[in-house]
Amino acid sequence: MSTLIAIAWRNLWRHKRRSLITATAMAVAVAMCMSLIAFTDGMYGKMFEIMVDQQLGHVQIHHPDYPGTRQMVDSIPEAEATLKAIEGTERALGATGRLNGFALLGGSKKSTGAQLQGLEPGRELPLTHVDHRIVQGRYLASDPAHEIVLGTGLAEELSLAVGDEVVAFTQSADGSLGNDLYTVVGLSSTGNAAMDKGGAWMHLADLQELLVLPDQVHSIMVLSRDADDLVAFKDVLKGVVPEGTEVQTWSEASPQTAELMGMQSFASLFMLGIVFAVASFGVLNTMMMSVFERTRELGVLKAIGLRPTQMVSMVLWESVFLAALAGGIGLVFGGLLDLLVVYVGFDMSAGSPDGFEIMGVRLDPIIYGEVTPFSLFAPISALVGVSVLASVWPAWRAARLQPVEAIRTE
Amino acid sequence: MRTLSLLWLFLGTPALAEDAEQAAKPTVEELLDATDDIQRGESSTAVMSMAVKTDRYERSMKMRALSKGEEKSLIVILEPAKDAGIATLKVDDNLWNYMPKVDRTMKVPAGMMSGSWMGSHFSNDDLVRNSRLRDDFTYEVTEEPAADGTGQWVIELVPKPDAAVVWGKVKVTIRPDKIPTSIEYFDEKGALVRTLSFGDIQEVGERKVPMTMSVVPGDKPEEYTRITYDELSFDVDHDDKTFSLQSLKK
Amino acid sequence: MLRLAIRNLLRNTRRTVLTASAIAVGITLAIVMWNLQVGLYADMLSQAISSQAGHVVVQAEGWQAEQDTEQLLADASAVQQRVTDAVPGAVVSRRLFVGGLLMAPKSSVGVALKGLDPAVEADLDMFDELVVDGSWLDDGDDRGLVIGVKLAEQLQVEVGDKVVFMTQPPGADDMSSQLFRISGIFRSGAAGVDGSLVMSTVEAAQQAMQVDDAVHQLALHLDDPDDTQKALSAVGAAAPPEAEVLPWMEAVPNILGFIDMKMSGTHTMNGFLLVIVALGIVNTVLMSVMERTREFGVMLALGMRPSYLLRLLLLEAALLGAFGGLLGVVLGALATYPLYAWGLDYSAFMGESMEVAGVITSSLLIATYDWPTMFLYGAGGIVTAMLAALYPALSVLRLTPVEAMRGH
Repeated sequence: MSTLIAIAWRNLWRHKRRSLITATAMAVAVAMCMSLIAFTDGMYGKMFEIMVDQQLGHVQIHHPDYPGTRQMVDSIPEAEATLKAIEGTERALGATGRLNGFALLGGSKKSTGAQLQGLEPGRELPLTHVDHRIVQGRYLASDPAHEIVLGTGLAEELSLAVGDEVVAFTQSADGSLGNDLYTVVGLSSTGNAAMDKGGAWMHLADLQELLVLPDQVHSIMVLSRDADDLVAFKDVLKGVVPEGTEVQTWSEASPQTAELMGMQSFASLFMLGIVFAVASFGVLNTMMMSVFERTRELGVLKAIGLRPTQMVSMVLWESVFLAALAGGIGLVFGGLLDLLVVYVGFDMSAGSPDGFEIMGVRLDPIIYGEVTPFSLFAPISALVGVSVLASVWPAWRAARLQPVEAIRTE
Repeated sequence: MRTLSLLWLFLGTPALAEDAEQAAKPTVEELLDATDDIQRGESSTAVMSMAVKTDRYERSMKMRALSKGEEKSLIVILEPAKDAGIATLKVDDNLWNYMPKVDRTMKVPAGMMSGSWMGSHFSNDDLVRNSRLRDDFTYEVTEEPAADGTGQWVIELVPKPDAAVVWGKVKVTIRPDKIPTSIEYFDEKGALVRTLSFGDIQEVGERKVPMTMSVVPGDKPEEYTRITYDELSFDVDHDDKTFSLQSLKK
Repeated sequence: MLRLAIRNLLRNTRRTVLTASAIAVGITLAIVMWNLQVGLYADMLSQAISSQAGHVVVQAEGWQAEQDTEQLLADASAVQQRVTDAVPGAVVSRRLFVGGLLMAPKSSVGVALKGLDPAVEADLDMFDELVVDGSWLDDGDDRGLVIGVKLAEQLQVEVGDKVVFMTQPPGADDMSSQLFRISGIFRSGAAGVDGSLVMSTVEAAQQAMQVDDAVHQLALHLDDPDDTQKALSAVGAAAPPEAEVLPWMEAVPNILGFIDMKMSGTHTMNGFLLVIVALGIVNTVLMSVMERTREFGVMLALGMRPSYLLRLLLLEAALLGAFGGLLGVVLGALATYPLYAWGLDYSAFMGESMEVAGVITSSLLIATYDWPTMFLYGAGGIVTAMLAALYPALSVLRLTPVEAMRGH
């Protein structure tokens, strides 16, 4: 067997030029696939990040009625103690609590209804880095100081800028009328279209005060150290949260997001399929040619006793080696392209300078790629698979050669 | 039906009560007008208490209310201390809120009108809604007081096809002396959505005025908003300037 | 030379066919992807144009930038008449936008009311298809209102129920209230729209705003988008001087940019595909050339100029590419057919409709036959083949006739 393999390898090098050309074609296909997948992964990864990391978390905790009713009073009590307990578990990377409210928000010229979200910068920023989404001014300070960050759309509607003051007027949980003054310290563009157009953020303690919901939050977002087996993590957390609170993984909390992410795998596979369908024809072409070219030689081999199965495996090994070679070259090229896509990014701002919006998520116009093991190795594996498949027919033909006729061939 | 205008309504029921004893049986139109209450340039000052009970909280408030005509009014919260000084100013159909803690006023935009007023079962748009029983409804009298003056009027009203009214039916119960005792609001499917009741009729100045009004939602009968007059006087001469944004910031 | 080239190709039919098919497959895939994208984006563009603007729009000056309720186009019917006369065959739709409160017995919500011409709009955008309960508006039904599914839930209303729309007309002190009955409930899939957009006739919206014969936008819809420039000048002359008249490129610029970008991305990827195809067939072309080295050597020795040989080889490649290209176009057209007749159904993922870059389009992607580009890609096959032939041709020419005759 090993002789056969050695022969296969040497066969390849006997036609150096031809082998190299085919290998280059396949390498280009691999490199292109790698970078395209890196690009799509980057784009979907960003969308995923915005939806899951920033809003849903790996695991979400809330009052069971809250998602349906969104009533202020359906809150999680003893928020501080609960957060500490969660942070104490082994798998938790971090947890952050959020409080939601609705208020009439006004500047000196106009007022309008706005969604308010209260959070603790100290817990929130290490997990979601929302301070990176500030476009003007700065994010909230870690201690409550009656500061507020407005969504860019909201700031525009109310004609407010950094440094201005804003009045909030709302009905608090105990029925009294909450009202207070806040200073705009920054404007933010988070990618969540609804909040950017009509939302504002303040310190958790400030909002708890305004709404008269002391030590309460509406949702706790937990990020795990790793994203696998979140159901097990969920069960751990169930043990540390107050009675009656609901704990859900992100796909339970938002099935639509899970579906959207399903599209991502679909898109990558689709691309892989297309590129390799094309490349496989090149391989088929070459392999066919190489078999026909060597008809006489193969006939001789058969005449001296090479069995059909050995013939087949010889041809298949040739293509495996070819694919491996191509894969190696492709990996190098692809790796370089990947570096380009990941660090320089793909600039689409020519078409839409403000970025664009898909399914409620706003993406920047410059998309950075993301490299995963899948994007590195799937194209190569696909290549080997495709090459072998494409060689089956030529190999079969080779096996079926009649020695005498073959030798007689010109 | 200007429901919360009944609030303003309190601040001046027309002087029909006196005539009632001597006059012939009043026409339905007069009854409806009495219920609607046209201010006709009344002005008044009052101090009211409002108690609100919902399934989430119970609250009491005390407020001072000033009104001039139908279009201008000012309500200032006196108690509890946390909300003291918060005011609502209404001029025509515009509403503003004033907050003393931050010393700012904010206009209530049309889109926010659905918000509850001061945490009660009334909403901001109750203050400015604009339909009249007589004009926007067709009516049927289903009950009348007996000749000896006992019993009551019951009038069932159905909105006219083009009237800008969400109700399917309104049922008004009125005492023989033309003071309404209750108004029930039904949606088009016949479900009772809310009930307004009036009680504790007393004489103030020359008029008979219900000193208590409550609103009970149809689907949650254990909840209510109850308004009671602690003090009430009519024909007070208010300066127009009182009903302005500037004067709020006093 | 042509006959010679053809004969050369036919000498080894199997190889020729195989190579041509390689080209054809690449082109087929490129064509199918392109047609699908064109279908999707053409649909998006026409949705955006129809629902947000028109091929030409007439608006009050400054409305495009500020969208202020008070920026109204006065004497709308007169202007509409003049515009219709100026561009025969065009469909003109009117639009009016008001914000206010929609009240129901149990609850009220802030909404955005869009007054429109129901029959015209039914042809223009897809809202009439998204109605899940009740029906779309009828012309003249000034009491009818179509609302989104989320809004209906929040207000706890059903088809046939009464609601009152309240708003503050521009410049007025009093609020206006208006009665409506729910005619239909739609589901678009875009949460913002389902929760806050309500639609009525233009007249009803005008009543709410207490304006007579004024609108925010008169939108002109043409059968052929290429007529836009001509229509633009005709409308410009017919419209009042203080109005702004814009072509759709200016009325919905974002969409155009987005689509351009996506399309050039697709062209790029298809270009790469053809490069891969070219590389894939270099070997076969090389082989066909190498086989005939001796023969070429003889011809060169007999006096054929090298440039002639080069051109012959390139011609062979071109013919091969043309054949492959043609095959690719035919196969591409065939492969596009199912996507054209039945479409690619994304509704399992996205629901009935999806929102991309602010436009609501159907989740069923239908391909279009973009023949010009299809033939362009077919011609690309020629380029591909010629590219592939370049290296083999040049390497033969480097040999001296003597070396060539000796065989390689």
